[in-house]
Amino acid sequence: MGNLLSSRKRSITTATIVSIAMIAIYVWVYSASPFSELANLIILNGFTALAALLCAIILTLTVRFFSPGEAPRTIWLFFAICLWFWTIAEAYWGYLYTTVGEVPAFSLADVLWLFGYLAFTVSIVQQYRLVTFERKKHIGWIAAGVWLIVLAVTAILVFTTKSSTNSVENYAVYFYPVADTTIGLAALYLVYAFRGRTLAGPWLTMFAFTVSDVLYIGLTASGVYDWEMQGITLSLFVDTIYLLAYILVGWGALQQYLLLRSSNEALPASE
Amino acid sequence: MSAPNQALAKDVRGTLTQLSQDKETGVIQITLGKQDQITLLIQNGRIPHGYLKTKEDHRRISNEEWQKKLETEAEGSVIFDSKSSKTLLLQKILLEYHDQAEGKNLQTSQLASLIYSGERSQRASIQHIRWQNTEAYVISSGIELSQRKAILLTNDLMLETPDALQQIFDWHEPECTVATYEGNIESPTWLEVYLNILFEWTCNQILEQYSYLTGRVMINSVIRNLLVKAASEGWEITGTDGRVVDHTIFASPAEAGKTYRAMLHSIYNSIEPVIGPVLLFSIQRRINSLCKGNYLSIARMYELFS
Repeated sequence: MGNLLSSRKRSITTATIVSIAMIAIYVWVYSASPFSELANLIILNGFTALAALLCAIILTLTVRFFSPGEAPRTIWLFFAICLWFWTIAEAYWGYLYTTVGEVPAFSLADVLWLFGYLAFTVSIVQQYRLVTFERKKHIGWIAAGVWLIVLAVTAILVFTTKSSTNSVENYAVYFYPVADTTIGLAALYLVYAFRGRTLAGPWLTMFAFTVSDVLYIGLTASGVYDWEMQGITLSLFVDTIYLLAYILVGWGALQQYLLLRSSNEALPASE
Repeated sequence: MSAPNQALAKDVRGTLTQLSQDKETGVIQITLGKQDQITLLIQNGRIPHGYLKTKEDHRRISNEEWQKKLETEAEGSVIFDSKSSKTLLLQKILLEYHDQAEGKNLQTSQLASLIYSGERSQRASIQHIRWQNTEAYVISSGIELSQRKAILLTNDLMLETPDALQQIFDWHEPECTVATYEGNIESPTWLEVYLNILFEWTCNQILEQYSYLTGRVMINSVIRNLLVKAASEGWEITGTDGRVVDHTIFASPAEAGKTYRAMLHSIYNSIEPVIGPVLLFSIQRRINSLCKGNYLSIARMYELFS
């Protein structure tokens, strides 16, 4: 038991140091650009992809604690799949941004993000099924309906907003905050169902993407994204929150992983 | 361990001291003179209950009473038979309801239909099956919970695992004697049996529901916490294959109810920090809805689901 506690403490200490170091380096490189332009871009985009990758790895390790057929396995399996899609999307987007400079409004990265959303929907639907003890039979259909609403709301936003850019670009811009807000609210309901206890952690952290994306769209739509105040741009603030969102999801996943790992330790011998 | 003796009391005291040091569990049979017999149940070296059987009488007696009786007897013998704690609880029923024991001769191949028909009864029951050198117990909760447990005792084997019942059905000796003891909730000893069945069923229901929400791995930590608590409180429980089994012999149903309530609270306290109070309440409510009849009344009486 003592070893278990110290191992848990070690994991948390390591995760804290890595998280703080990543954010500090990210902010430093973003604001001071200490290296060549290419190196700075690789570090900034690489860190976002790295944070997503760490989340995907922790969630994949979490899946190993469940046997095939166990109901909660679906939750963590599809959560992990979602993060793998997002990792590849982040890496691809970072690659385009570093090499081409201007990333198209709709690219392969967006397709991967969309697949990530689908995987996350399966995960959250399964968690809903379990917390309601399958009393609500049509959660899958309700989720499909919610996604139709998300698409419709995004379309309404695109058509009601005056913009010079083409509609596909606009659609992609508005889709993410609407989708993230929807997912964030659905996740918040699970936080409420678990009353903030341990299993609420991973869902609570997903709300960080809602904050990050809504801030992003708000600031870009109002044209203040690149504003600078006392040498610090608002984009630094927003982009750091995006990195932080991945780090928080990683924290939530790590708590779940450590909980399962400690429970997986052998029981004391019974008489 | 057999010792024909001149100074019986001294011999019994010596045996008890040894059993206490070794923390043994089983039954001591003290034969007094030609017919009288004292039976002492021993759990971990302690004596929870004693029984006196004479030509006219067969009843539970206090520690003072059997000690006094021993001192007045000059001759006798003492035999210790090692048993599992679970068997001890069944032995208690057999000792207290010996008059119900109408042994019925049966073919071993008929046992399955007899036992399954017992499960359709409203009342809990214990079937004591005896072959030439082997005995077995089958405890049925009755139709209200549909639980069943079997123990097979041979000369060199004691099987309490889930496949014990199949081993009983497949036993190689063709003929056996079966005595059926029908549960009576009015009796304190039977109430203890009902409580024992209900407690184990409740634990396993909670763990099943919790595992459904969080995965089988998470059951381990609940059982581990329960075993740590049990060790500090002196409760005789085991937890293997994700199932909790209680072996404690209690002095009274009230003590059993109080202890089971504390054990269940230990489980609730392990679960609540993970899934929260609302989902824990959902689990309790679901278990409450599955529990029926006498078992539900007992659960309410001892506040096991809250």
